[in-house]
Amino acid sequence: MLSVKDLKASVEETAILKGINLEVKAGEVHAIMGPNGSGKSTLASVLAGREEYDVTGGSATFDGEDLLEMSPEDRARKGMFMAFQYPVEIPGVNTTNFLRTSLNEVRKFNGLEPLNGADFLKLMKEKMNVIEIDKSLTTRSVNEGFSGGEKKKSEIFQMAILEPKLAILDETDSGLDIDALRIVAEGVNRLKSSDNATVIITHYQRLLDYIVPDFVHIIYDGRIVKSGGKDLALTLEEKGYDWIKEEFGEMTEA
Amino acid sequence: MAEHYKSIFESAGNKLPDNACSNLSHTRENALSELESIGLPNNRMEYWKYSRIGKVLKGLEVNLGLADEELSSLPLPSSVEYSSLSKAIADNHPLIEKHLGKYAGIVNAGLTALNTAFFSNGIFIHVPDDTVVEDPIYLPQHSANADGGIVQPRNLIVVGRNSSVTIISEGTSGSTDAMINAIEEIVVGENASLSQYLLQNDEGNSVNGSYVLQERDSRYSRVTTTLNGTFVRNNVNVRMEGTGCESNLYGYYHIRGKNQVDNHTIIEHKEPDCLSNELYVGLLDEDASGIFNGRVMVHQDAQRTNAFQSNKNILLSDNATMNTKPELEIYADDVKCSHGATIGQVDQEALFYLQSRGIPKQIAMSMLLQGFSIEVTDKIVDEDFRGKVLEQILDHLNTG
Repeated sequence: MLSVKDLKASVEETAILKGINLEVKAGEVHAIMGPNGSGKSTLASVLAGREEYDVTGGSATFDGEDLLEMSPEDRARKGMFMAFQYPVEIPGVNTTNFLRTSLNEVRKFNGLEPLNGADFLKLMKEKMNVIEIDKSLTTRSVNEGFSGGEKKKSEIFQMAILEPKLAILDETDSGLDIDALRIVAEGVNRLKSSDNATVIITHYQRLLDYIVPDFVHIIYDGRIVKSGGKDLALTLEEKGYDWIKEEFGEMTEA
Repeated sequence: MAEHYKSIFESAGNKLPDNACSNLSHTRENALSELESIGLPNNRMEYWKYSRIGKVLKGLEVNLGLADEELSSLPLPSSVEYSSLSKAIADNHPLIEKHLGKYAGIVNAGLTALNTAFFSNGIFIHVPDDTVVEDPIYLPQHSANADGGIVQPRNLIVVGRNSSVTIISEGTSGSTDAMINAIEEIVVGENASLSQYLLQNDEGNSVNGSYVLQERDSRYSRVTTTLNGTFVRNNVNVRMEGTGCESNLYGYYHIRGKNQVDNHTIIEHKEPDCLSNELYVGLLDEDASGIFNGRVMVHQDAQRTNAFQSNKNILLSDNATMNTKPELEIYADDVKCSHGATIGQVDQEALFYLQSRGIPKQIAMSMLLQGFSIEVTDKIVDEDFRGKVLEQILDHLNTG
């Protein structure tokens, strides 16, 4: 589904990604872990299509199509979803209207009829039960005045509405208390199917107690330096990131 | 130049509505003398700095147009007195004597003096005491007649004690070789409530002066939406003459081309325990220029005043300009006042966020810009009119 090969990217001429390789297939859950500054969020941003990053080498395809050539809206309309680390507040744009516009743009792109107001509200109600989100949030402006936990829940709620093929959760667990974390994780688990895939980008092992990954990758200094099963996350939890820095630090410092 | 206006005035003879019993002719003469001594505004005057008034007035003469104001065709509650101003004057209506020319200060105000000296017609509305008018009253639009020049419409609105009314006006259409110089005087009586909604979406030049007098415990709200107009200057002057008044001035503007929109507000807190709240937000595109000047005066006796002011702008082009200036003069010591002004660009993070949810850039942009106006348009309580304003705002955004 997602195929990243030797992906290199820089921001303001500083190389951040130095050759990332990643294969994600339908039905899989991948966790990408790494210390601060290792390139985790840059990877997420490049995959989402942020303009501030220059791709300097390699490739990324989504269902066989060149992802890097697509506009951010086309990535979304083809089934990619990014849950943002810091969801932005948008005063004056009503959450329900935003979600309906979003869903209908995605549907239109995929040759489906747009949902009318009544059908959309029905869908929203259904998904609200899955995500345990407070109804009042949908009547407010997008993310405006939401607590950290509400913002993250709202991201997962949007994901539930859009039903993406590939969801990338960028540090969705950071800044969440344990209750919010559990709700977010349960939401993700309920949306999981054999047709879609999830990439969890995280600093902490904690989220992986709730969402069990099939693969764990450790990113360090712009490269994936180690991949393994879910046990790798436990090793990280036990030993921290220092051993990674020791083992892989020198070759990149040189 | 001396005696220039006097000779025009004399040539008008008895064409201007007047009334032998009222002191209107005296008021007109005073205005004429003031006008003769100060002349019309120019850009050297602080109050007209950055404005293109000089250019607009160039070559324009006083228009003595006597066009009848078209009265609203909507049914009005019989309790409301509604007529042309000239009829109210001819009828010797007691409120004319009491209010007309009493609030529109002519000192150092050339255009107000010009209007007072030469106004020929306009609308008179009187909502008697203890009257709640459910449906809004629509004012006819002022228009420049075929002769061009500076046209002087004049309205007088008196809202009685404990009464409540909504008044809507759409447009002051002029042409580029004419200018509307409109003045309205408004009295909001004790514990009365007036909401005024304006939609300016026509070409041409206009200076719209509003002079609002608020008596104790009254509420006044005004929402002005400006989408078009070569030169649109809105002067809103609110005087709170009693305690417990509330005044809300809101504005949204989105202009392009070489148009200029200029909102000047003056709020005078003269008595204790009043609240004023101003929010003006706008978008400036292409070569358009905007001005906001918000003056708040809190007099010595006006303790426990709350006065808030905010002006937020987004520049959509490199050539668009905005000049914004808060002026707070506070002579009381127990007050809460704040002001803020921003001039910025569209939030790129928000744009990206919407796009990453599948919304095409252009639609995302339009959603964000429309969202920017919501804070103001939400203040229009009348649902039908709010719908109309929102529709025109959206149309205007999408025809960029």
